[in-house]
Amino acid sequence: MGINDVVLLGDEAIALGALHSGLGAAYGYPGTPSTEILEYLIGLYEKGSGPRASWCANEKTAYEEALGASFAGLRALVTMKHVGLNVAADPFVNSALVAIKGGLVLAVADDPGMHSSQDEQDSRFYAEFAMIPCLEPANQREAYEMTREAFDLSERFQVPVMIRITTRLAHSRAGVGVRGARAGNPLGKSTDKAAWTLLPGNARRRYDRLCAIQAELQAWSAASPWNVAEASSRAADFAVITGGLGRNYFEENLGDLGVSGPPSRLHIATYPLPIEKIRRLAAANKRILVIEEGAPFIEKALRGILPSGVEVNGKLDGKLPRTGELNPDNVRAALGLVPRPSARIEVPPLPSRPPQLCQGCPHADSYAAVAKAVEGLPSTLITADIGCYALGALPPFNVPEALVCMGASISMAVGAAEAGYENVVAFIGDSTFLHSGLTPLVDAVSRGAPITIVILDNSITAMTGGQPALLPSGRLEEIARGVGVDVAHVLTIDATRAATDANVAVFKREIAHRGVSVVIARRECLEAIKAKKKKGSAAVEAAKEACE
Amino acid sequence: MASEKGDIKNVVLCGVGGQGTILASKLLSNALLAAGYDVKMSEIHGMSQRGGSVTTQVRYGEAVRSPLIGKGGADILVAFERMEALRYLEYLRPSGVAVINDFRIDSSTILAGLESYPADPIGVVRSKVRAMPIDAAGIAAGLGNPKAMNLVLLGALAALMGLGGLDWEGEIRGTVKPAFAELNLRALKAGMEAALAREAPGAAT
Repeated sequence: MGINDVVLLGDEAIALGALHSGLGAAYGYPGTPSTEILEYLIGLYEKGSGPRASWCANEKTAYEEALGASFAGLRALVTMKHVGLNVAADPFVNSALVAIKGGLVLAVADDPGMHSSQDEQDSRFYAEFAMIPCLEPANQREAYEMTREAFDLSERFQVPVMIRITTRLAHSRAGVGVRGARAGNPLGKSTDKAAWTLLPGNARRRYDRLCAIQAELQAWSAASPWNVAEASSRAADFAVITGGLGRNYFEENLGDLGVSGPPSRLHIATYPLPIEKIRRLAAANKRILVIEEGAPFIEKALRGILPSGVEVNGKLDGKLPRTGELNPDNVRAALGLVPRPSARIEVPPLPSRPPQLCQGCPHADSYAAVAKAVEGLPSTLITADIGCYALGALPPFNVPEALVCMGASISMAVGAAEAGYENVVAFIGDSTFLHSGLTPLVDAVSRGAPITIVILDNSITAMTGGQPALLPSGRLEEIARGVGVDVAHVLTIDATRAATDANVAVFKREIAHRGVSVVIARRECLEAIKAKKKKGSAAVEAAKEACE
Repeated sequence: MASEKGDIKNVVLCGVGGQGTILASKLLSNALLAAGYDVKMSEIHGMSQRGGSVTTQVRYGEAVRSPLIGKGGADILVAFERMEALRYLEYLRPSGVAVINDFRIDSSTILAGLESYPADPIGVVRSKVRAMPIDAAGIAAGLGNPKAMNLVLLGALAALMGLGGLDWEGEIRGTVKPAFAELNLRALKAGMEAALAREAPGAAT
């Protein structure tokens, strides 16, 4: 095998690493920048050349399905974006207590800079919280190799293992050398029933066990060759610790560090932190700059509370920006280097170019109709949810007033209506509704909350690239009625401009209704129509083949 | 990796979501990889793709580490839209060249009358660095489809970076629908010719 056999996105390198580890099943929920991991595997599965790989209703069900596959003996991968892990936190944290049978690897993609997210939480905190190992690749080759190692670790320590990546690795392409694939595990469930039934008595024993293996995890991390220490001949005044992509940006500027030469350095790629390596570096240096992608996780551990005599620099003292992504420029500044000359011109601020709904998008017509329906009404409150339609919060629509997390449109509407707002509307997409909208709908129906839920049904998960809806479109009405929404207030409208007047009338009536209304605004996503036209074309085939 | 691949070259492409910057960057990356370069391409998916300002970066050479280019690090900036050239100009080094599609797309804020399109972006760029405006839309329209403007710009980029000899035909035929391969190849060649004509001694840029 060559050194650059295949060109892969960071996401795809994880998928291939999992496949070559003898993967038995893969589950996930789409979310930028993690989506392409599972898409790669689904592409193979659908052609009959890979194990089961499926999109799930949400990250929690995905995690639990992967856990079930692991319990049944197979190696399982589960993928999601950072905020998705909040949804899957319950099975994730508890799965650290069971006796993992088939290797279970969680690949989670963080989005520092919030390119396509509502926060920039750092998943390393979750790995620490659950007390499980985490590997953080800094390039595509490492993503491939570390995923393979993660499956070994999971079976060796009988705990789930996290692979943490960030946007620029997930969505950059590079050549990766691949190694031979190994066979999968045979089907065969765990026979350690006590370890898998987390009744308090069992759970206490399992938690003791999890605490007890921390020393072994620490020993593994301390010995891991992924954590590379390089001592410098430079005077022992200054050292650098890098994490994730921070290493690449540091190395990018290495050539400009001049006569003083490169500082001593330690790259950290495994968690729990390799404590001994850090102590050795600190013992030989007066000052340490921490360059890590995401939150100041390593930096915080270094600083502690009690004085140590070593000065720590990083995101907590402003040497690096506390928020957003690292890049060659902010790392350069933290290293004390002047900016490179650039063609920058002082011009008046440019007009912004925010993303917007596609021309002719059905969501635009739904927003326009609701905006008209609530015109002049007192006591209005409008929530929305996660998806393309979040762009309705921007001009020219400016319709939603709150948008927080998957499903919150409906639950927040319930709370606001019960607090006293009279004309409350919640916008939620069909995929988001299946993800986290059903349970708050149950709340709403159980108490007869006077809200109007608008399910924007475009039959696709559009924002993340067009994953097909899990259930046929027409099922939404049945779900609403099945949960108990009055049949007279489960309505379907055409989300078209031509139907605006009729739709405004529907919304006016339903908003006035003092109970739960579900209005399904239906029209297929333009991107979905385009994708359908393209399907089967040479372009799609060629792209798929190139990924093999 | 052969050492003749030499110093790292840095390319910044920018434009508006939907203009085909990612496809152009992918073709460039794959052609470079096929020729034995180490390549890193960085792109952003998701929300910004919906008509927002988008940029991709391609770095190639013997061994590339960072997926991102620092400010002042780009050898060439290829702007698929005039105003976007101004937005990303700081990534270009002072001796670099800015290829600018002589094409305007108003943002939603401009259409709504909240902001106004900057005056003469090409002239502003030219006051600072070497600018090469190209009527990629016009050239592509002349070939039958203005949408192929991304290939015209890729052709100009390839010519200016001395990459005209890569296996473009193989990459295009392997990526694009057969029905569009011919058009795309012609657009690429037209872009190369347009750029080389500007490079010719005595040509006005």
